[in-house]
Amino acid sequence: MKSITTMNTLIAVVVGAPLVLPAAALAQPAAPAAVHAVVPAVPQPAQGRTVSRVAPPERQHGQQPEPPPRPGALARTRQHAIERTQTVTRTFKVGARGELVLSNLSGHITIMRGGGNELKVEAVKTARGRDEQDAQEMLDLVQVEFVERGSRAEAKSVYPHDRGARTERRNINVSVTYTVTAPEHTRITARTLSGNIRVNDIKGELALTSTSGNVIISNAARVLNARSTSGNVEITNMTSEAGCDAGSISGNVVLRQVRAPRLEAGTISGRVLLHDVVADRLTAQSVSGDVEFASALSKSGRYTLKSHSGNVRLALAGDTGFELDASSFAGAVRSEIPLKDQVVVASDVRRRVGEGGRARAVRGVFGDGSALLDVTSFSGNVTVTRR
Amino acid sequence: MNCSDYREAIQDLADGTLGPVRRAALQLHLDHCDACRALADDMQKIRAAAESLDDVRPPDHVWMQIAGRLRQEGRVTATVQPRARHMAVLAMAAALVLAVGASLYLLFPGRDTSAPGGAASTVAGDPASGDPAGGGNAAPVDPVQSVGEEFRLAEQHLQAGIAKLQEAAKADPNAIDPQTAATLQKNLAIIDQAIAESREALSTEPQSALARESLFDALRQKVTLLQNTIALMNEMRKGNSAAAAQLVDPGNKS
Repeated sequence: MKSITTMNTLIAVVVGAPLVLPAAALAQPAAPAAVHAVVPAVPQPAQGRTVSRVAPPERQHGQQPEPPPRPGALARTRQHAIERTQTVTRTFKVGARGELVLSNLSGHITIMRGGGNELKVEAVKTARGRDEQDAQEMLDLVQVEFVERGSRAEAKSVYPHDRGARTERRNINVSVTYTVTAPEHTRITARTLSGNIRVNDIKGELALTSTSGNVIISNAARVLNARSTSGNVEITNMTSEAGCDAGSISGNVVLRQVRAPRLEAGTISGRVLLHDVVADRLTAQSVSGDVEFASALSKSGRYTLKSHSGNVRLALAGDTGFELDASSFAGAVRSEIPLKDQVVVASDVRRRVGEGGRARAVRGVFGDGSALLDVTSFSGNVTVTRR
Repeated sequence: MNCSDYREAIQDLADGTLGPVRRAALQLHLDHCDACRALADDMQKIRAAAESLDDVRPPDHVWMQIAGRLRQEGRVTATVQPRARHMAVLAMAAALVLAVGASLYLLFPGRDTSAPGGAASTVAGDPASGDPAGGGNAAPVDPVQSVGEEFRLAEQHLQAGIAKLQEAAKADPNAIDPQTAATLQKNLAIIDQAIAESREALSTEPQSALARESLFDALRQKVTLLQNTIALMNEMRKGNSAAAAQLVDPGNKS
């Protein structure tokens, strides 16, 4: 059975004033089953649910896993000290292998595993205004839209521009923080423009994008892609039978205890850290950041690690044989692992490597040479060591 | 419907081409049918295994023909006013990048790693294919000169693609919030620095395969970043548009 519960909590917060009343949230009766339900942001009648309280800013989001991003520049000013929140919840019966598509503009998204076949979405809208009326008006402008189609659930933050509505306001200081519990094998596509995305213990296929927040995934089984523009991307403890693409533009990309047949990790100005990663095909790249690989190699694996101006470091565990091709145009290349058929190219023919000269390329074979390592940095150093 | 009616949908599911309605219907069936669920799982495994295989590279002459055709059609040189025909510019930019990609395949059929600052042999083709010239069916008389010409042509195409993408990205500078725009700009500058350094290296060591590869890596990165920028702009225009620009908080990053 589909159920929709709107918990409309209106909290007026006056920064710096004493606590007047405790916050209260009363659940509304379940709405009739609906295939397509748009939950308007119209506040419920008072009915004792509107409370005013005074709380320091850090207490404003006590029930949320992390404070939501402030949705607009003006929200940081003292004149936007009034905050109102509204909580909307919706439960979908998606089955054990359903799908969630979640689209947000400003606010964090947290998704975790729940039991059974139901997927529950809790959306907390937070508006900051000059006064209560201002905050309430902004809260009303933003809607959380839910759509249910078979085993597919959709949740979306809808701002006036999205529905073609006109508003006099230049700034709409409203963020929406989503907390989702989903069956373990739910397939999830989630994106937010400003805010972090955290997914834990979900084994369905994940495609996650945040523009200015972090994307943090743990205990997953299939990450199709995880991307951020200015945030970090972190994947911890994943065993996947499919390829995984993790990327950022200015953030770091960190993969720990990740196993997948194909891995791609890239960033422009961040670092790429790959610890205890197992992959048959791996490509890791940064333009100005370091690339670090501290793992065992897969037999017959293919590894391409490169940075333009950062260092590339390999700390190899295990005894898998490999063929190394490491080079740097302006940096130094060094392998602490003894190699057969080693060829060292000196940067300056007049100076021997190790006697004031540096190696700009090292090639050689370790063991059976089954894995191929192609490691380059244009101006950084390349180092190969034992872990 | 019986199980055989779902076979095609299971195939489409594995291919990632199943629409939401058919997906929902299929999912209902899979929830109750062990056999079909097992088949779907197997298909996904096959797909994953196929994805892990190395790319099969078409013969060089195919790329040569594609690049030649695009040039013949003028799709790599035409200009359009970005503001007047924004979508046309985007489409053209995409075509340009495809053309650029084809040119890159001409240039780097296989990476020769004989020496970073090595001799002429570093640019002389794909040992795997047994093609000493590395130029497909171009059959150059002078391999080094030919590769140099292809290199110049490929770089021109990349630069042309970049110019178009930059035009498109500038068409609506307010589409992206200031902080994200600043991040993108900063990283474009980092890539430009990498391009400049690689060019300088190539000027001192024209035969350096590493310098050349570094230059093309940086150019490719720039194309990708510009494409991502335009995709973000389109996303904001399509759905969240002006509200997005207003709502992103420059001070929020955890």
